[in-house]
Amino acid sequence: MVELEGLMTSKHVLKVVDLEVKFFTYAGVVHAVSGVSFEVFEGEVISLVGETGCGKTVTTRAITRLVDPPGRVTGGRALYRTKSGEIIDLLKMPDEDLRRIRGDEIAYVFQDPTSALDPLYTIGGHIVETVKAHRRAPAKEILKHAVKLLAETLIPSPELRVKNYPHELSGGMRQRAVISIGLSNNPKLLIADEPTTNLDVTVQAQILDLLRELRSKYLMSLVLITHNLGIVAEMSDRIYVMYAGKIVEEGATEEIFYSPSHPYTSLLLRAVPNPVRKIEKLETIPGTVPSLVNPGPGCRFEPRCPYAMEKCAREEPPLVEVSRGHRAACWLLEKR
Amino acid sequence: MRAIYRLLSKIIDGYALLRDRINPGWSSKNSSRLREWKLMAYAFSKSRIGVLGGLIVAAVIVIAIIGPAISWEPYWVYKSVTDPRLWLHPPCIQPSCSEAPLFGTDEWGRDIVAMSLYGFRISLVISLLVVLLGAPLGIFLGLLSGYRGGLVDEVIMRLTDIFIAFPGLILAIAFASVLPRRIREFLEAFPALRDSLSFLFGLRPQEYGQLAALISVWFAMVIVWWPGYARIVRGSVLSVKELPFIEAAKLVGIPEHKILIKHILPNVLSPVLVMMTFDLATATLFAAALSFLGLGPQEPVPELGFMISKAATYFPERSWHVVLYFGTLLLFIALGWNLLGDALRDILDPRTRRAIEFRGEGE
Amino acid sequence: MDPLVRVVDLRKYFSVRGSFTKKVRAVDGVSLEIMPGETLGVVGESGCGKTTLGKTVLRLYEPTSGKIFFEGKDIVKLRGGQLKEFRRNAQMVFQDPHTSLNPRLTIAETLLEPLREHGFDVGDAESYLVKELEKVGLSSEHLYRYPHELSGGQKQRVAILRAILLKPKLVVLDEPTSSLDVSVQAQILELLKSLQKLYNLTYMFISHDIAVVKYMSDRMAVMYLGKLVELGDSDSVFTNPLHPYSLMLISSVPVPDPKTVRAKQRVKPHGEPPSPINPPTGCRFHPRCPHAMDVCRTREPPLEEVSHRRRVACWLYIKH
Repeated sequence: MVELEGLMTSKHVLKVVDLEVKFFTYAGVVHAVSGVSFEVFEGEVISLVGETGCGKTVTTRAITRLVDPPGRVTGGRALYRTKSGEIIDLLKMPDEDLRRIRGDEIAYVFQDPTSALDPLYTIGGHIVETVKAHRRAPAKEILKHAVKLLAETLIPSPELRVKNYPHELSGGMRQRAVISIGLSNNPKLLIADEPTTNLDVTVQAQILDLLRELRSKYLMSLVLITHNLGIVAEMSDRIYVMYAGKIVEEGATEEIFYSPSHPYTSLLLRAVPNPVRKIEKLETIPGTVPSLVNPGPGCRFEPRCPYAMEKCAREEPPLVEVSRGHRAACWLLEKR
Repeated sequence: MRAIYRLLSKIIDGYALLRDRINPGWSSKNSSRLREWKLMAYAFSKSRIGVLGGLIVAAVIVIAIIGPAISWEPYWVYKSVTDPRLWLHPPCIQPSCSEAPLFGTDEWGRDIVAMSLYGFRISLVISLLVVLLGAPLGIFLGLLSGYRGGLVDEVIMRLTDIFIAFPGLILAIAFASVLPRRIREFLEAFPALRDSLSFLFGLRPQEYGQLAALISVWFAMVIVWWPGYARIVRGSVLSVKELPFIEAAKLVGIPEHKILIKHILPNVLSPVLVMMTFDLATATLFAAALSFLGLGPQEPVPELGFMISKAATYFPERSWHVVLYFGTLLLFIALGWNLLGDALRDILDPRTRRAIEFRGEGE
Repeated sequence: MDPLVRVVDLRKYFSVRGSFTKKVRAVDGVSLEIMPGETLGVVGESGCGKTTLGKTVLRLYEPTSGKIFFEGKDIVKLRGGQLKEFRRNAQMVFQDPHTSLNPRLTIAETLLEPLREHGFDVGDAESYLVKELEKVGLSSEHLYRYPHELSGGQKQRVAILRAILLKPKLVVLDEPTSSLDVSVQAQILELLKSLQKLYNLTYMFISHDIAVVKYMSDRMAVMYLGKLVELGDSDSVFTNPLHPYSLMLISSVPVPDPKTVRAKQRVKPHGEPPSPINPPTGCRFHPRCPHAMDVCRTREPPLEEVSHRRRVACWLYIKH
């Protein structure tokens, strides 16, 4: 483990190195994630931003070993520092050890709260199950803890709600319930995949506020996956922009929004209607996301890039530093 | 399994070429459809039970079609009358018994293998007739019921409930006591019909009386067969009719009957096709059972169930080979359709079809 | 100028299953008008009735009561040929491109159907359709494909083409870009804008995404629980919402601009959205409203013009 120690500082919670995920399908081998690396520090919120097919969901599912056939993790490491300080590789752990991590140290909140809840169990039942999977405690005590958790996620009348079944709750409450269940064991890391996409805007605002509070209260780290740049702007400390299975730009939130250095990032930012500014026309990125079956040797954004040079189709640009903590993968940056 | 895929692929390509001859440019316009078929062929070839079922069914169909023509013994000759040694002769292998057939004979001294060649045709035809005629009725009522809802739905569903509750066997018995005579009279009045039906079943026109029995059995079966389809179609219609593209069609002003036929029906057919395949197995067995009970054709028609029934009198000492042989045949026919139906279910659902994994060369 | 569409006290109630009296009051007395050539945005959260409003205006649902005037004619009672004429003039683009096209028909068949139904003489169908496809950024290669072979954005383009194929006057767009990626959304929105100019279309743009609605619409209508609570020019409604719900809604929208101090100005939404079966008495918003007064609990405020081109339904602005 000494070699792994060298990669992680004491502030690191998660460090993913060169993750690779491939899907073996009838149409061919899909290179869904190709060499993705990112890190999460204690108590910070990072966002994986990108559009459909960029690989952000597959990345997080790969880390928690939730990738199903025909997909397979074909390379990389996911180093995680447990609550006890041990550093482990999530991808190489035996199943039984992984089970101890899931739900206890790392919690996963999915996009659709309804399918994340078992309709046959009450909310309290879910929390009891989650807690009992990791420690011994009498059900009565767990239920008291559950009521407290529900109250923290701003569910009104939590003592009553704890006994409710999922269908008795509205969509917003269900998502809050799912978050409560995720928090039942005080995880160090919460991975939330589009947690508010199906919710109303006002409910979304409440949930985002809640996540921010929890982050500061419990020093919990949050990996937020979303395609909504507004949420990213509000919530994240740092951002990783993904495209076609790769990270094309990474950096602090303000850096990314105000000094985007990758053409995709800047086009993406201009494609979103920002209501606070007066916009004449939205930027449209021509073309569509490329097929990831046998991607070529060059930059994956090259076919759609208005600044593409000859080199871009031949060779893939590496991530280079734009400024401290801000990196982008683009040959345009080589000129500097 | 690759070979199966390649074979099916070639057949699809051949069909495309044929269509191209008739309408030039057909294959480029329908390239998407051809791709879908090939994907279905691929999915089929990957399913071992599907291929097994397909092979069995193909064999059954081929035997059924050519059976009566290639049978080396006509079913209407009672051979044991002339040669008593052939009476219920058990199976034996040459050269220990030179005069008897390989699998043995029935109580008329006929080679049971030769008889089964006629039996296949009868079983296949009757099961196909039941399903191909019972299903559309059920589909039509299911469409109407699911789309209209309200009172129409209630009435049709209660009707369906009544018919599902109907004991098919009792109905068949009731029909068997009344219908055959009527049908016989009808067939006498229309000899052309009588002859073509006989040909269809592989029988001689003289056996039109037996044909009447077969047809009354068929009637009874169709009446209890359609409700299952009505229910299954209604269920699918209920979910499909809420989909936006139906609303879009309404918005354009497409009249209801066109929406039902062009938009709803094609999208509810998949489960129906699967059900039809499974039903062919059930119908085969049900028809054989009815014949076993004596409600179907009588001597000399060698219907599979009927042969077992006659052999029951001498079972097990003298006729075990007859029972075993025809029983196994029925088993195979039903097995073939069932396996095929299982594979079809996965192939026809576009989602599972697309999720088929393929370990590629590029790994 | 006369409005293209005028809706007067429109109501659409749905019966609740298992009950003869209970009704979901999806649209409960909405009056508005849409001027020719403009884009009217309709925003609100789930259960507010905006989609039902759009579909009822098109008579996809039969109104429970109220009037709908299209080009001056009351279309609620139209039948047969006249109804078909109306259908030709008023079309819709649905939210989910994956289910708004019949998966069993090729694009060509899907597009030919409305043309045939309305007796359009297209001459050589293939070249006609290819020309039409180019208008929405597609090409002949898409003509004989099945929907599942197209991307979400491409499917939505086909859906848009189907809607404008009959050269309608009004197009209702129900969350046309909500299922699409950000960059694809931009393409579709720009396409919609250019088509509007080209064919002089009138849009009713329904969406929960206020940023998109503000970008696309001239005027914006805010709905809550089946009622219209505010109506005015998009820019001014966004920067200066008068109705407390509009304020809550608009301030909840996360803006892709980290420096904006919006988080501090946000009006924290509280309470849960209530049920449209049993709406609160008086002003529907009063249980969640930070400014609720006594009159709000008992009397429903009417929608009135309280300043230039701005209508609000709130007792804070109306004499009571």
